[in-house]
Amino acid sequence: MGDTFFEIIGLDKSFRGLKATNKVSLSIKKGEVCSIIGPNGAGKTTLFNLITGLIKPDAGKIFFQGKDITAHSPVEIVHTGIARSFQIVNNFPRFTVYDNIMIAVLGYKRQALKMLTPAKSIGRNEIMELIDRIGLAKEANTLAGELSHGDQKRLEVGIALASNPSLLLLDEPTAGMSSEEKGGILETIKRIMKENNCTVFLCEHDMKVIFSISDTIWVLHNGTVVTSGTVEEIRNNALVREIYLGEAE
Amino acid sequence: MDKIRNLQAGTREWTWYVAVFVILMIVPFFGSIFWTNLLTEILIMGLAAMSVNLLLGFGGSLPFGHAAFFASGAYATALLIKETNLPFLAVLIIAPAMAAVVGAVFGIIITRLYEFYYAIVSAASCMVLWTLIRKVPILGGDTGITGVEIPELLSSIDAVYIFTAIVVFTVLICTKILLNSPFGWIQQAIRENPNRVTCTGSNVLRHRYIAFIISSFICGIAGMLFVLHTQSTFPSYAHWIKSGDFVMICILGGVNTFIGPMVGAAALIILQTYITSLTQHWLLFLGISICLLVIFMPSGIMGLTGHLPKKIQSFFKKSGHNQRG
Amino acid sequence: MSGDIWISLLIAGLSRAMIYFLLASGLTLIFGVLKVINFAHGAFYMLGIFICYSVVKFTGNFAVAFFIIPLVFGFVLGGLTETFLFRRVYKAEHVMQLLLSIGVTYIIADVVKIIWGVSPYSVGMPEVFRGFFSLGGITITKYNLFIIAISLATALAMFAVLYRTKIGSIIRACTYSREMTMTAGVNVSRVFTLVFVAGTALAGLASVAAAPMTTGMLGMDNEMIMIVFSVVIIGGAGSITGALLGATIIGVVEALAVPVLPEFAEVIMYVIVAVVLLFRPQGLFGKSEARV
Repeated sequence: MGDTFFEIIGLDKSFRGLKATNKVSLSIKKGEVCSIIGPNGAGKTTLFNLITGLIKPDAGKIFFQGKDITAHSPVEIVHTGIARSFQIVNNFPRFTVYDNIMIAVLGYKRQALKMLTPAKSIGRNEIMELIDRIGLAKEANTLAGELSHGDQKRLEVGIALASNPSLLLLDEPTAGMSSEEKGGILETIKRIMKENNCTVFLCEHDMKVIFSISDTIWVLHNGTVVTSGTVEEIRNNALVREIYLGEAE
Repeated sequence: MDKIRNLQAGTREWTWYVAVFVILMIVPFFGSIFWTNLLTEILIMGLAAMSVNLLLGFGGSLPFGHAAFFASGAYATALLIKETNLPFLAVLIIAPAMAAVVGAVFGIIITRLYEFYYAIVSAASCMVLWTLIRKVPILGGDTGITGVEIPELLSSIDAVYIFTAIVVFTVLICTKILLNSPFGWIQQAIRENPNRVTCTGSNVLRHRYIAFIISSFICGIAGMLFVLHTQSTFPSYAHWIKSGDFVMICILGGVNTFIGPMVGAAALIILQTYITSLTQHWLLFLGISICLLVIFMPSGIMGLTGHLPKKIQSFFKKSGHNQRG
Repeated sequence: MSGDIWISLLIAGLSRAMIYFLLASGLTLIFGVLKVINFAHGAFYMLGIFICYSVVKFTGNFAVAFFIIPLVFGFVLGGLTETFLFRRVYKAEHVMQLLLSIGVTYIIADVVKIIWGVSPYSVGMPEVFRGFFSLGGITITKYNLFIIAISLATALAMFAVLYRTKIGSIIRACTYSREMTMTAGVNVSRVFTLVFVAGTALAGLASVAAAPMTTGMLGMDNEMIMIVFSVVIIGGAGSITGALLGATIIGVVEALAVPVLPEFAEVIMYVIVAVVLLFRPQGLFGKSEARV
């Protein structure tokens, strides 16, 4: 089982007859950065929603660390060690950065039903450390809704990290960022991978980002996996070049 | 953007609570039956509205059916006293528990819904109870249950008042602790963004369900206190109009504050007493007030404190923005 | 009881159902486009019945009431409440919209009390519609038949407008996405007013249709709005087909339940609602929201 840290087999999902994913199969090795690319509407976000249990597949199986998690609820999936960030900014805008992370930590620690102890007394050091790690230490008391776009994306990663995942799904973590911001968040991701000892599954539009960080790349088109390989292989693959790189650049 | 206030009460806030409590305790000594009665009613309605606000202001739901739990608490109290020989203390515990049971049943359906569905299904749920109350003979039918005998100790107006104040303040403190706990924070997070809460590993459905039951329990306490106060219950307690009143009190006081519902209850009941002494057309007055409130003062009375200068500022900012765009 | 009586009951139930449909279709139309649930819809219905009484008493002619009231209702009552009240809260929180409509309910209830007092009124059955048809043992009152015909015609007209005309396609576009329609250059605010006017006119039509077979009294609005809500929940909010189906289910079940369980006919209605919600939280024809 050591090889198949995470594996998807024949995942099907259609919306009103339209196939969003069609027999998608892929696997991720422990400790690598795995990326998925493909033009808009290729089914990347659907795939992420399927993995995190937000939608249920019509057919196919998802295995994580040898366990079949296909039928698990989103909450159970978080607790098995898969966390995600969202493509769109998806936080609690009227909460401070600290409180945003706190909500995620409470969820991870299964403390949601505790009614007598004050919430603020739980996991203080841990939360501050995490905020520091995503580079928002100065903004701990700023409202999430008032952060810059780049910082909101960082917070997004932070919320996902709070559940201490062994597989971290990042849905376009650099979308809408300037190139300096992109560099910054890439550094953060690399550092976090080392420190948290987690595997990253990344979905991205920006080819530069993909090529600079990935170990393996999977190419998705119209809901089907077209090909996969290392950065070099994908860069030199004529088909990919023709269809995707042409469109993305 | 309004910051979600840290609900953990500072020393200053505690001082306020203690001061208000002490003042309330002195009221009976002035010997005004009118004010004692009025304050009892304010405290009870405020408590009911607070239970609504637990879901409305702090949970982001639209509970338009809390009359069901108010009535459950009230009818359970009346029936337990009239039809059984249970000790009074047991009644005080069982009656709100009955409301919580009713909440647990209705909650199965209601808490799975969102927004307008939540609102109209909860409104329909209290009408189920309303219909049952009127049709089942033991519940007293259209005339309700009157002449509920309460123990000697609580038979005077002052005693009921003091008892009510103590119970209401105890529940208030418990609610405050609850809102500061992880439970309360997750509850507020669900209001902000339920999907995100799910994705961080908290079970939103279960959370909403438990919050619903707690809220119906508190509303049941209010119903119970109201029976001690009036010694009777009527089917109208379960009507959706009553639920509308609770929501109205919350909005009037300000849904984003902890104490808002109490302030709203005080304002509404004092106003009602005053207006009904002048004219029969309280309903017309209330209707017009609601329209004005919703359009011109959506953040309620508590929203006015300290926010007025900011509002004027933002008004000018907005008009400036329009000129540019 | 013999089968014939059941069929007669069924037809009577259907005509009740059609009143529910007329009300529910207005409510659901408004909800679909404006995303506002109007608690005052029941109060509109009550007001319509009282006005109908006065118009019939004044002119002595039911036909006048039948044609005038829905129009006046739509343009005056609907137009005014939309322009002066609801328009101001479209962007507010939902609770504000609901509370506002409750406020309107209170105002109408008290205005009715001021004008007509507290005693119940009934509009006599117009001469033309008195009597009934007999087919074997089945008796069908003429008026029931008239209501069913009128309501089905209204339903057809609504579908024709919604699916065959330009304004219909604009309304459907608004249901789908307000922003998209706005970018397409449509004056959405005017569409909103139009839909509110149409929805209120339907409430007016429902009340004149119901007037000869109902007694107008205070408090009837609160009961009617719950029935209409149940219809909308069963059918699925925003769906006119759903409103038709939901109204039929509730009207017929209510009519058939009365001889069996006279006391609990209303409770049965809520049981149906609960069952539908347990298995299809979005109603029979509603679109499911992507919620976790």
